[in-house]
Amino acid sequence: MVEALQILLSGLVVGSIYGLVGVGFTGIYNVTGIVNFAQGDFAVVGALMTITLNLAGVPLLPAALLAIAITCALAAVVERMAIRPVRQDVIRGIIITIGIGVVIQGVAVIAWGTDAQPMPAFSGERPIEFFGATLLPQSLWVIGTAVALVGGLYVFFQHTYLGKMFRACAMNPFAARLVGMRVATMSAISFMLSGILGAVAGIIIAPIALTQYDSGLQLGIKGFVACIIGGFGNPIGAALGGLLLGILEAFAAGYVSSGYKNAIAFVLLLVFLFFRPGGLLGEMERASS
Amino acid sequence: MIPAAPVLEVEHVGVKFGGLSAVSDVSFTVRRGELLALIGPNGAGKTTLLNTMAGALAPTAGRIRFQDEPIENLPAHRVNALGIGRTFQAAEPFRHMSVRENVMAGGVAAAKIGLLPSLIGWGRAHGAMSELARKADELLAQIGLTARTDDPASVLTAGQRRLLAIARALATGAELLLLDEPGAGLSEAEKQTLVAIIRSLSAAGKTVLFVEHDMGFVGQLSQRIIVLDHGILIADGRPDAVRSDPKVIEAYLGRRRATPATLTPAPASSAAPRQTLLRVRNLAVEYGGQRALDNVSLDVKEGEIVALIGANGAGKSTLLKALARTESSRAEEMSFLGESIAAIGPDQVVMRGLGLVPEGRAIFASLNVLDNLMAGRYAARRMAGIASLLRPSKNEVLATQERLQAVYELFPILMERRDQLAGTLSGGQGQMLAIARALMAAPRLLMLDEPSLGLAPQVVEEIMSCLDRLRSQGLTILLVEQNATAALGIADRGYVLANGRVVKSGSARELRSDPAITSAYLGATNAGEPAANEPVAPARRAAALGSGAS
Amino acid sequence: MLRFLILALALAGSLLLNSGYFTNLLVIIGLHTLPAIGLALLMGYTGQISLGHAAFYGLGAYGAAILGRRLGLDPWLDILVASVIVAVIARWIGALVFRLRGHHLAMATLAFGIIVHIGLVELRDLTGGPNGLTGIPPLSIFGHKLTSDFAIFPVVWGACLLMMALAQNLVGSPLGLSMRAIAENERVAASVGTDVAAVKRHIMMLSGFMAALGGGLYAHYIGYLSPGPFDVGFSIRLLLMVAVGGFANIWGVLFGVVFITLIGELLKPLGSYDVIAYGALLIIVIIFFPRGLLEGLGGLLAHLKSPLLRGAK
Repeated sequence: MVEALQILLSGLVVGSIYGLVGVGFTGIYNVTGIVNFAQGDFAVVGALMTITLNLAGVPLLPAALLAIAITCALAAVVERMAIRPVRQDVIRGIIITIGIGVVIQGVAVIAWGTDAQPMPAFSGERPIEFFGATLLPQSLWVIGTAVALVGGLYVFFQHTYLGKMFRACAMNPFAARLVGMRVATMSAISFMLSGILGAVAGIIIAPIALTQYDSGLQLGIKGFVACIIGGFGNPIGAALGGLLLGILEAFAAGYVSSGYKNAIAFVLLLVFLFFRPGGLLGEMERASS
Repeated sequence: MIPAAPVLEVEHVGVKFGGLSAVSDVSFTVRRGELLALIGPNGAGKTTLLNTMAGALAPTAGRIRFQDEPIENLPAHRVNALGIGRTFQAAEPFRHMSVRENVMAGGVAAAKIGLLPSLIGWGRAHGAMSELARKADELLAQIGLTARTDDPASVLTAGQRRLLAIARALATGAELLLLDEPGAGLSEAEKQTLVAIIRSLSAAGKTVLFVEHDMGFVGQLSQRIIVLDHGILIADGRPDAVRSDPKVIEAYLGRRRATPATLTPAPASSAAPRQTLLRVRNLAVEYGGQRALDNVSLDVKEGEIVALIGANGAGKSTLLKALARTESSRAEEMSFLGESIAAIGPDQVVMRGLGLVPEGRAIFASLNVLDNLMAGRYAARRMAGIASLLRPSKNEVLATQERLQAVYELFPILMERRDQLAGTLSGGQGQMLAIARALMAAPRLLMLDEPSLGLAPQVVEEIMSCLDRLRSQGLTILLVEQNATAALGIADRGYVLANGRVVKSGSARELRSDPAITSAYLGATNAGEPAANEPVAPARRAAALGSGAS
Repeated sequence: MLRFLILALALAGSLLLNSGYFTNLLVIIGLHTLPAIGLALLMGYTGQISLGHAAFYGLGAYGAAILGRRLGLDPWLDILVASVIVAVIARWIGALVFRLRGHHLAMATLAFGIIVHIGLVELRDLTGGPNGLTGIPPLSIFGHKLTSDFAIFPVVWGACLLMMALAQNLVGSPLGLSMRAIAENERVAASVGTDVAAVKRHIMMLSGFMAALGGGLYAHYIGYLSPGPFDVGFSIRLLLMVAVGGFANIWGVLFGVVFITLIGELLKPLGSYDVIAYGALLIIVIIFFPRGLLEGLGGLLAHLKSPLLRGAK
């Protein structure tokens, strides 16, 4: 029983990260229709940059904020240079984001080498007791930040004017233009938002899971799975999907074998893609203009 | 005369998309060798019906039999193998293939060459390509595209693409041809060529069913016309009978009354000379080789309602989109309030006071009514600065309140339903929301694209009277409508569009009583009517289209 | 036909150079050309996307090795049998996956590739896990073992030329027209009688066969296998080769493989920079040279020439 609780907790922690990355996917997809295969790499860049700055003497929090800002700028550059030229063509867009992911990964290797990098935990390493199971303080940071971010995004998209206008832009880009929105700008902003989300996800999980140059692709795919499960469109959906995936993975690792745990995400992905084809786009429908 | 054997039997076919009935209980029979036209106003369900016959869509009710075999559940390629060929509204040649290869592609399925022989290259596959090429060349000669045989299909003109599509469908060995708007976007000369070719196909024993909007074209070709309106078959018979059928006329032009509608336009005379708000000279729009608009000029003066009427495909929507700058165009002049709008973006057009209520409403389905209305203030808020998007200034709050009040007064139902999701509104309510959203931006000139589309007559009347009220409050309106009666009922002036050109203009009163309007929509209806199978001579046809004096 | 002759002569000629390094390079190129052609048929000609093609290559390699070990099959035979089995698997995958479009299809193929990779690592009893299999016997002709680069060269390139010829025939056949029609517009292709789903399955089957053939030859050439090389990175490199080659161009694919392999060689001294180059190249090619590097550069040259000619007047 205690073991199950332990597994559940670790699943929640990892799942929060998947959820954050998934929300990042959703943000970009909703406005541009492109799935950003480099989403996971934003997380890696954020984390590795924070580590570097921290090691160079910058205190942890400013280092993190700076890293987030840099990743955000990177995302904007990606949108401008690589996505805009091929906006309409889905397959070319996919291949380009793959290329971007590869480049980011390559730069990461050069900048940080191939070894896993550690980051100090935000508030110490003393485990906390929780109904017989132990919890690292960092885990609370992860879950807390994820909840706060997703909650904040929910409030933004559902209850603020600008957030609603973003959603409108995704629902019907043609009508959005008619009320004066600049779709291209919205697209750039959504990329930057996704960059921020990705960077934060990478930073808060770094103290627990060592960050490495190639964690990006796997993280990205799992974030995508979170979206598929939860339905594109609603940040809550992606978050819940991520949690579900994290929990399932943890249980698989605990009771079956840790090697196969990665396969869970991909098998789930295939199951959802095959058995719910077309019905996976969630509540918000992208109207074709 | 013994009627020919039935080739296609459509029995009580219905198609539902969610709760919406696109086609209901349609039944008719097509006999071998017939030349049959399927007509109906925009949104009537013609292409949907065609898709069920071609196997591209399975009907939700009813059966379809081809040469006595049920085909309603067969996929498109099986339907084609049985002998039905079709073309698409947008012609859609295979752009990366040559003209000859396009036609050859049509013959591949019939040639039935498998994977292994294709890999090996000798034997059956070897001869098959030259055989396909030979047959393709024959067909190309038949339809007159021999000169273009080796050119890439992407360089063909619109008319040539339609011919290519027909040749490609013929290459499949089809006995029944379903043509979706074969004449759309074609010049007069190209249409004549098309008519001749379709006639020769019919003479050769093929059965042809085509969907069309150009009534002159229909008049020249068809022995029989089927009319669809709102998914229901309302007429089926010889051309002269159909054209004078009151149900058909009503479907196209809107309900005609003995006396003009209760709405009378504001008196045309006015003390002060009115400012020209919108001035367009020589506007042209091209879509992929096709001229959607050609040499269009118009003026809209302050305080007027100007109607733009014409059959579907005439270019009315394209014109509004070009003015709203969501469609690229070329024009000698395109100015609003004295300033050129030819090079600015659609968001700036809105900010200058030119609003568009698009065809099909285009509301934000997952936002509620109030949020949709607030979206209409986006341009104004952005003009006041980015910060205004985050937190509206006091002026903005006041302006929004004022606009909301005005809009709720005009459309009380929107106030009632302000918390309801816009996607759950009825058609009429959605249309009101779309208009209200555009009004939130306090435009000087409001353009509306087919507001009556898909709406019941009472709702149409309600909307028209709202537009009338808006005009009396000082708004200028440019109204695009297929429903000529409703539009001319409230307009001051009007322009008639046909095939991308302005063919007539004048005061609403003049146009209302002009028989040329009916002709523009339905073909000739007056004395001197040609016999059912006789083609309308070109001169008379030109008159029927209203290009000459009435 | 002439091109094949010239290529064969050129290849034979290269052997005369007696350069171990060069011959080794050409063998690698040949081994990569096989899956690349299959991918080109799938992506370039039939318009689908596959981000997991390394899986078929890996399945072919491991399949040949395992069949040879477990069933005692002669290397020639186990390559063939493995290739046929993988072809059937590919066909099934195709039947499942081609219902999807766009990024769903891309993700599904990516997921498939990764699942196979995980399987190769985890199924230790079968595949030897992360350490892989060793002691895979080489191919032999009349008792003479083909262990050196020079010996395996004709086998690899023989297979390549054969597959290229078959692919060329296919593209020039009626079925090739159907493939191109499907790539452009599935709806219209169906309306002229093409059984779109069946054609996609067939091509996927063929594509899987070619990749597996390459993998099987690789296994018996290298003599040992580990899951490492059969990862997403290889799938992406294959994608890059096909993209540089222009997607729908059999000879272009050969150019693409040569180009990427040479770049890989050039960048080796730079260590990890090669990954960046691959990524950047992919982006540049897709944005600026959608019809392949060769055609794109040719077009660029023509563009530059014309103002010069005009100036000369």
